[in-house]
Amino acid sequence: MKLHVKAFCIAAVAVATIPGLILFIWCSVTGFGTEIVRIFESVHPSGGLSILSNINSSFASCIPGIAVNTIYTAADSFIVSILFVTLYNMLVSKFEK
Amino acid sequence: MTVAPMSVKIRKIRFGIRFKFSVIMIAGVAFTSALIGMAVFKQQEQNINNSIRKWGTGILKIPMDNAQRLLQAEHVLYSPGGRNLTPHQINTLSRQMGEAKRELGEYFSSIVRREPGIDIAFIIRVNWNDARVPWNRWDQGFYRYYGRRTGSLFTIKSGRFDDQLKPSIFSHFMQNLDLDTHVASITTASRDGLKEYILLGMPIFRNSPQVYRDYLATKKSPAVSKADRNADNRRFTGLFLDRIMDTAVGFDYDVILASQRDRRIVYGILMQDYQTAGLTQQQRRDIFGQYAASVDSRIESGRIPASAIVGDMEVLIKKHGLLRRQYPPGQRNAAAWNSFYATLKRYGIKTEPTQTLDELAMIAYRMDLAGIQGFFVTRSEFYSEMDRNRNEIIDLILSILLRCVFIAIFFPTFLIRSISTLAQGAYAIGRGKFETKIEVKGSDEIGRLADILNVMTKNLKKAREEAVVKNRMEEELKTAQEIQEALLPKELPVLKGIQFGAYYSAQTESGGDYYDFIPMGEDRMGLAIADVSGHGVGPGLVMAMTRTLLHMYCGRNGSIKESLSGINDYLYRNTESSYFVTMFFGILDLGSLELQFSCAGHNPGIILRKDGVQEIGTKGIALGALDSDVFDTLVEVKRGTLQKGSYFIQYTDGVVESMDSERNEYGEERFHGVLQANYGRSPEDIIGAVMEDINRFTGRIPQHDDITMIVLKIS
Repeated sequence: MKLHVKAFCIAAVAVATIPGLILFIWCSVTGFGTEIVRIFESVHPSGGLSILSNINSSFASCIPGIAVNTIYTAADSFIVSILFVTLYNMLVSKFEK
Repeated sequence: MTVAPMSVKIRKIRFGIRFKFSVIMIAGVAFTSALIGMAVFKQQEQNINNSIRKWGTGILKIPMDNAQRLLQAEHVLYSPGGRNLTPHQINTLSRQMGEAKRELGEYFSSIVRREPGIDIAFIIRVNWNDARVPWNRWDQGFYRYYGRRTGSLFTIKSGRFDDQLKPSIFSHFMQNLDLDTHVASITTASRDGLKEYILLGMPIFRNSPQVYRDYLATKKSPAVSKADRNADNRRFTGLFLDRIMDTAVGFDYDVILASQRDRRIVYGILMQDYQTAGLTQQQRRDIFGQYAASVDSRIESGRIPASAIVGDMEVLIKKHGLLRRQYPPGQRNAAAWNSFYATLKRYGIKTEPTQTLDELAMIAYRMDLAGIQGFFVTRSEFYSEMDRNRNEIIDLILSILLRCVFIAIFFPTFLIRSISTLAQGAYAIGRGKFETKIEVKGSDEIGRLADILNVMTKNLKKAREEAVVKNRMEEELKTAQEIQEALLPKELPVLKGIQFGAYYSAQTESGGDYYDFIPMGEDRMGLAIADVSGHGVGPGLVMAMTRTLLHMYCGRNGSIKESLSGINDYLYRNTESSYFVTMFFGILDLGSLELQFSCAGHNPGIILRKDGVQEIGTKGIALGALDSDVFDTLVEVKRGTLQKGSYFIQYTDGVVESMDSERNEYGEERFHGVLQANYGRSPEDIIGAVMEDINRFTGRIPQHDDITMIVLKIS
């Protein structure tokens, strides 16, 4: 049975983005998960708007970094999910024949 | 139901929505990213350049006096006039040069030690002393470096050419009126490979560069009024020309000779340089005459090039063997030239350059440029941070671009899915599968289009079903019409002394009119004409029943009343109440021409004679409308004899009730008129005349009632 592309993508984006947003906010406030955020930011250039570069300043200065990283999360989860669902549906249609 | 296969080919998708969407989005993002990236780089580079310029100017300003002293002394010593210097002057200048070199060397040595980025310092002496020679015809610079270790000056390649400084620094100042430190970038080969340097160069002037500063400021914010602008232009023209003439050899300009007095003054100025004591009066007149002729031949709009005046005069003087008295050999030309210009000014003779003000300013600037001093600094000292930022920006752009590529390729899937569903549905509908329902969710334009297609499909299905029913009905009506027409007489009776004519026209496929000529033995004939209420298959069947009954009664030789009563009784009992038949039925005695007749609700017949028209009718009601008890009491039978030369005409109401486009009826009066007008003609001709008149009256618009008419002519 084929997967519904739109439903799967929305679900994947939600599952990735919401926890990601929570993690970024949490990290900005308390420094929790700094290493994960560091790994995440190392592959997501943000043109100086990173969370970690502003983590010692106020929370407000981290907001642009949180926004940028959240957008990255949403975009990447969308790409990965649509790649997955497309490939899955293609294979399913071949195996079901 | 299926339709025939479509003949139009359905194209294959080659450059579909996905492709177009992807191309547009990727191109847009790539273009925007490139623009933003370039703008950021440019801005960053500009900022760094500004800070380098500021820093470099601070370093180069300190030794500027020494550099100027050195260059001035060198210019004097190495210029053509330097050969005439006294030994004392030469010693003084040489000492100045030595001191300046030493102090410059010490300064740059200390700077190189203090600033690790500074690699090597240099000083270029600019040798452009002759404005007639283009500055770039050969290298006009003299290049020298300060040794990093020794702190002393040295030259390379005889000091006449440098492939790094000439294009980057020297050419810049020879082409741009730039008073500030210039920052250039070069790449040179070193032992470690290619090395990038930033070059800083500061111009050193022979005179104060304030005039150029003022000129640039005036250009930046020009005077408001035209008069002020003209005054500024004149002022700067004079200043630049003075500066050029102070230095240049052979710079040409126009002399304005406004009057004869000006010519004489110029002549006087030129002759001051020569020993003329031995000339006779006649020789003086000749020289002046030749001078005046020369000036006259070259002057245009009061202007004449200074070179033309001086050149012609020198030829003239040479011809007359006069000697120059003021200038020693070697200095003569330059000094004479400059002296001529200064004397013209003193006498108020106007001079104007042939160049534009900008060209003039640039020439004066080049002439004033004594040299350029500067230094090399390694690029990485300043640009390493920018390079790091640049890498980060490139990473950022690539990162965004990569995601946009994926999104651009996969996002149209949602759009294409709906459109594919639409296409499949439309294809199925086109194949005649009207039960297809296109399921597209969402409230966008595609969802709306799907709804519209579904409505269209439903309507198409309904229309097709209606068309099928209509076709079937038309087929049935056509069959009924064929049957009905088969029931009408195929041939008209042929009897001696009586001519017959008949006309029948149904307005629908199956009409409700009927006429008949029924033989009743050898000497009698039944005449019938009837009109069944309504049109179509039902009335056609009632007409068929009526005909059958009538033929049955005529076969029995029944009376008119008996026949009509029997038919009424049968129709009343066996047909719907909405069906009834009006009928004229008569029996004509072929021998005596006596006509018995009865009108069962039908319009009266007509007897047409030469002298007029007579209607013959009876009482009675339509057949099948009431039961026999009532009907029989209302049946009336009359008799009459048809005379020779008369006509008997019977018709249905479709004749007189034909309507024109304004719903006016044809009417009995007009009908009677046509009959009367055609008296004497054959029955067919009379019918033809009546129909022609009806058609003329109605304009051939469709009629709602059938038309039937029979005509008998007694001859």
